[in-house]
Formats: sequence, structure tokens, C-alpha cells
Amino acid sequence: MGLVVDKIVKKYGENTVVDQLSFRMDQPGVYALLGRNGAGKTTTIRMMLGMLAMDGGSVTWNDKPLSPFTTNIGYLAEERGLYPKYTLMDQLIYFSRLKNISEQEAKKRIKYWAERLQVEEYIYPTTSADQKKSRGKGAIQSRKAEQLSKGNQQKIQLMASLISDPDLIIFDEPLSGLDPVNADIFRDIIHDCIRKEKYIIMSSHQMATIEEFCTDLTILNRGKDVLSGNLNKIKKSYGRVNMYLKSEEDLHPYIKEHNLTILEETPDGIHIKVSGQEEADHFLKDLASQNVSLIRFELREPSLHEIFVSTVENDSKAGDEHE
Amino acid sequence: MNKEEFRGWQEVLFFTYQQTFKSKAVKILTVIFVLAALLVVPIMAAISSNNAKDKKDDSATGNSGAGLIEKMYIFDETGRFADEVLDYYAGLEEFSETEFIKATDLKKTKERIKNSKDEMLSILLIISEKETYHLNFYYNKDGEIGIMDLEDVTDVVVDGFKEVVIASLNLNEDQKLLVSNRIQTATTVLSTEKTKVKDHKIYFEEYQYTFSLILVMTFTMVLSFCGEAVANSIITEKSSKIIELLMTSIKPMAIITGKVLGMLGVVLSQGILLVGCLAASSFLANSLFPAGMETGKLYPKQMTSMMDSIEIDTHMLWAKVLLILVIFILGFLIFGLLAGIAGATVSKLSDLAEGMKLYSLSLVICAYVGIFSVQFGTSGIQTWLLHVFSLIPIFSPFTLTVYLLLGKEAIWVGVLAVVLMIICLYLLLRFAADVYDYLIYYNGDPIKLNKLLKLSKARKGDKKHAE
Repeated sequence: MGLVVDKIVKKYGENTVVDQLSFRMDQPGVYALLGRNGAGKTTTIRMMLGMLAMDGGSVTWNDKPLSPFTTNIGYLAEERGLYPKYTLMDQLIYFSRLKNISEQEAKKRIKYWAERLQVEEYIYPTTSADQKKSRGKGAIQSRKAEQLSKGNQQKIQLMASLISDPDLIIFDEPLSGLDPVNADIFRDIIHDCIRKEKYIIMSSHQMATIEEFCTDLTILNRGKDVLSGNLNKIKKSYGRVNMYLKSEEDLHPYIKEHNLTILEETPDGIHIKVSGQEEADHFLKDLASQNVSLIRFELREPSLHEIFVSTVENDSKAGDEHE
Repeated sequence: MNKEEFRGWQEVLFFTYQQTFKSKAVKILTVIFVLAALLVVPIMAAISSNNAKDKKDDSATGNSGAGLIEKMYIFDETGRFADEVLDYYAGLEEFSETEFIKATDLKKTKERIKNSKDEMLSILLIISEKETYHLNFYYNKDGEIGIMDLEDVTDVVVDGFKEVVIASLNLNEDQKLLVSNRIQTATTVLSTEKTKVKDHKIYFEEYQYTFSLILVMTFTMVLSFCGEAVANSIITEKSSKIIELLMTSIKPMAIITGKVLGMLGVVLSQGILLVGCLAASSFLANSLFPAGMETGKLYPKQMTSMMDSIEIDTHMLWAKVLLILVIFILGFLIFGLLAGIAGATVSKLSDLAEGMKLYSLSLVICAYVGIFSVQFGTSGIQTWLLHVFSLIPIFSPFTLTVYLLLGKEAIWVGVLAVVLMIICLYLLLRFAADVYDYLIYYNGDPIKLNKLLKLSKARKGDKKHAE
């Protein structure tokens, strides 16, 4: 059951852009596809959706080939698009009709999402009685996409991708370009989708976003899977190697004495790299024995950002050496 | 190419149709066409009504047209028709004031009309036969006969000639029609300065040619406008990335099919609307200016000679009209599909002209073929070439629509052309299916035709390999 991507391959001439990529989602949740620009994420998504022909492998949904005609799929593409000259209402109804939703039902759903995304004023603009009188009935017409800000256009696109209440949702950079208020609205909706047990594939460069939502991930580099699995397990496998310290005293002499590496220094403290729990305990005991008072001590696993950067860098180096 | 690739085309059709009619340009054009269609017949009827009144006044005073002619000399080079036509014309009311004289010495008669002051209202009619019948009118340049007066006379004389001469020949209906269409008239002005100042030839088929030209040009304009609209819409979807969202519901072939059919729907609706408006216009003209309308017809008197001269072949007319409609629709689909492919070869609206270059060129060639084949057809030569043009699918809409209506091509040619057009459309659809899903995501410089053909070949190979 669920989504199975099995050894998919895409080649452009001699260039293999996706190479034997496999992953699976056996239960609802959010699966992350990470990678640098050009790593093959969007190509993978397009192959999954049947937009691009695969040169090998298969994608199945509930043991049947994944097809937009048999599976209700919602897709928020990275490169967003709306018809600039058509009214929002017309195009939302069109997108709904393409998903076999009746016009009447589509209007109900548009109303729901317009409220939820706070875009009612653009879909149902109201005019004063005087304006109505002077400009006629046509004055109360849904706005055109070109009249909307980028953020509001993004909301309409989210609405278009979710209006069919899809089972499988693909979000490509869902929060990019949004202001904090709108980003929160999007976050709430994604959390809602998770609560409704949807299968979600998410691709993003914002690691914080991925960490907030994802349970499993695949990191792609040059079209290959360089790291995949459960996010918590991956983190645990790296161990607690990040130590954060803050003190009113100068900690540099002690750090130097223990031959530890400072990764970053901020007003909030010092971020030090340790080999693991044992080295951290040893350092902490030493500080305590010398009566150094600490305001903050934190020992934690590497962030997804660090895992991503180190994985991709290591793979790229290995690739370059191999070549 | 399978059924699934076309799933959802109906929604695209409806959306294209709805949005095209909502666009300002189409709204304005529709209003202009509707107003023009509603006003054209009453205006022409009003003019006809005034002309009829003027003509009546003129005939009463004997100031114009046939009533103006004092003498008509008839010289029959064939030596077969002079007596008959002379008797016939002499009995016509229009020529009640005209004296008819059988000319025996052509040179002397010409000199008389050219030099004698008493012959200022005389004309000379020479009947000759060279492959077809020629009726040549001579009159004095300084006389009182104007070209408009002569046109009136020409109409009466030609009608009479058909009535008397062709009717008397032992011909079947088709042969009669053929001969009737081949009558040529010419007018020559005789002057004391030069023997022949001006030779103004008027082919009898002039109106047929104009009618054919209007049909060809209308079709070219419709295809040009709609082709660009289809291509424009595809590029908009590509450049604004809507295509990514659409592809989660339908396949590229459904998009192009829906768009082309949607535009066809728009054109047919406009056509029906215009026909309706013209009918309403005719009824309006009938009630407002009954004197200007031809009795029992839907057109004004002013158009009578034109309508008569076009001589639409009424034999199996409904079958022909249906066939023409099918040819028009198939032609529209073929060109619409070509425009869709051309549009998909570019990625930016600014490259539209570049991408449509080949399409526009094909359209211009087809229009020229249409126009020239009309000329070949009317001049009665090179009819084999017309058959060739009729059967080449991209030319058929530009040639057959006209010639079926005028009875210059047989129905079986039309049926054969339809079959060939269906085959062409199927092959074009297969070609589109091979390249379109690649083109729809293509981003870059416009793709040239040779690359497109290579791509189609490569993708066919890939598909076979996959199987």
C-alpha cells in the first residue's frame, strides 16, 4: 500500500539526471526530497506525475501504476502559474472541472478555501452600492490573476492544488516567497493535511520547513540517492555532536586546552563540534571543576542543514575524485 | 496515441470557448460583425430603392441604359445567330426605341460610329466564337453612352443571347451551363484619335472570381486569427507554468485537442450568429425598404446581377454545403493542430512570431494556391491542376469550398478530398502525440522543423524500444 518509487531513471542523451532512485511511503505523512539546484528533484516529481517519460523503473500507488487519471493528485509546482488575464473564479472552476468536480461543488470548495486562505476579497470583490449602480452588474467580478500580489497568487495556486481534496499531495517549495503571516497560514494547512492522513511529498531548500513536517527523506545529489531514511534515525546515527555553550567568562582557553573546534560564535553563545556524548561530558566536568559558571549548555544532534551540507559535499568530493 | 491521452479535452474545449468569448477583442469584433450584418442589407436595399426610383425616372425620359441606344448594329462573325438575336432584341421592351441593323461591312460600320455625328447613340455588337462566345460592344468615345449605360445594355444583350442562342443549341443542362459560363463580353471605345483607345474586358465570370476570392480570403483570415490564438494560449500556459498544474489532470494531447475544437466552436458560433443576423437584416430590409429588395429573395436588387452571375450550382446543393462544411472543419482542425505544434516549439510570447513563421508561410502559400486555382478555373484552362490542388489536404479548404459551390468540381472529388484530409489529420495527430509532451515542457530557443522531425523519429524509436 502507499507510494512506491522503484529505481526510476531519466536520461537526457548521455546525461543521467535521475539514476535508479527508489523510495517508498507505506503510511501517510510527509516525505522530503532534498537536493541542491539541479539535483533531479523536479524531474523526479515530473516522472512520478507522468509528465515526463521514465527511461527505467516504476512508480506505483496502492500497487497500481501512479496516474493522474486513477489517483487524485494535488501538485503545487515550484514554478507557480495562473492565467494572468482570466478571472480567479473562472480558472479555479476550470481546474476543478479537470478533476471531475462539478461546478456547483467547486464553488462550495472555492468559498471554503477563500475563507481559509483569506482571499475572499479577490474572488468575491464587493463594491459599494454607488459603484454597482454606476458600473453595472459586471463590476462585481472576480479579480484577474495579474491584479494579485505574488503571495496572493501563491495562495490561489495552493487552493487550485488542494481543491480536489487529493490523496497524494506534492509540494515543491511551498513556503518560498511568503511573508511570515502567509507562511503561517500555509503551515496550518500543511499540518491539516497531515492530520487528515494525506500522503505528502515535499521538496524544499528551507531545512527548517522540512524538519517541521517531515518524517522521512531522501537527499539527492547529481540524480543519485545519497542519503535516505527516517529523519530521526538519521540524526541519531550522527550522534550528539553539537555543543552550545554560553557563559559570562571567556571559554576560549578551555576550548583550546581540549582541542575542540568552534563552528560558530554568536551573541547567543558558542557552537562547538564534539565527537560525541563522552567528549562533551568530559569537557563539562572540567569546566565544573574549575568553577566556570554556564548560562547555557546544550548538546544535540546535527541539524538537517548540517547533515545535508556534509552529505552533499562528501558525495560531490567523492564524485570528483572518482572522475 | 490512445484514448487516455485525450481524456478531459471537453473541459479544455469549454474553457477555451468561454474565455475566447470573454476576451475584449472578440467581444468588440462580434459587436462590429453583428452590427455590420444587421445593417448591410437594409443599407443596400435603401440604395437599391433609390436607384430603382432614379432608373425609373431615367427610363421615362429615355436618358440611360438600353432606352438610350438609338441604333444597334449587329455583326455576326459566325454567320449563324444575327437574324435570330436581332428579332429577339427588337421585340424587347428595353429596346423599344432602338433600331436594329444587321451589319455586313464591319470596317464601314466602325467608321460610321466613330465619325458620324448622327451615330453618337449607336453601338456595334460583334458576335464571334473562339473556344467560347464573345460579345464585343463598340461605341463612340465622344458619344453620350457611358460605361454604366453600356453595362445595362450588356446585361440585357447577354441574357438575350443566352435565351435565344444557347437555348436553340441542342445541348443538355450541364453543357448549357458550361457554355453560359464561358460567354465573354468586351467593350471597345472608338475614337477619332485612335482606332482603339481602350479595351476594357469584362469577363462574365468576374463576380464568380470575386466571390471565390472573398471565400478564400475569409478562410485565410479565420485560420490566421484562430491559429495565432491557439498558439498564443499554448505559449501563455508554457511561459506562465500553468501547464505543470494542468498536467496533473490531463495529457498534452487533450489540451491541444480541446483548444483547437474550442476555437472551432467559436468560429462556428460566430458564423451561425452572422448568418442569423443577415437573415434578420434581410427581413428588416424587406419591411423597411421593400422596393429595394428582390421579390421573393433575401438580397437587395442591387445584388441581383451579382447573385445571378455567381451562378451557384444548385444541383445537390445541400450535399455540397454539407461537404463544404466538413472540408472547412477538417481544414480548421489540420491548421489548428499545426498552429498548436508551432506554438509549442517556443517558450516565450516574444518568440511567437518566430515560432509561427512556418505556419504563416504555409497559410500564405495555401491562400495563393486558392487564388490562382480560382483564376485557372475561371479561365477554363489547367483544370487538371485544379484537381491536384483540390485533393492535396492542406489546399482542399482553399479550393474545394469554392468549386463545389460553383459546380466546377464533382461531389466525388469532394468526398475523396475529405478522406485524404482525415488521413492527413490522423497522421498529424500521431506526429503531435510523438513530440508534444516533449514540446510542452521545452524551454529554450524556438525549435526548427528539421529538429522537430528528428525528435519525432527518435521518440518513435524510443517507444518501440520501450515496447
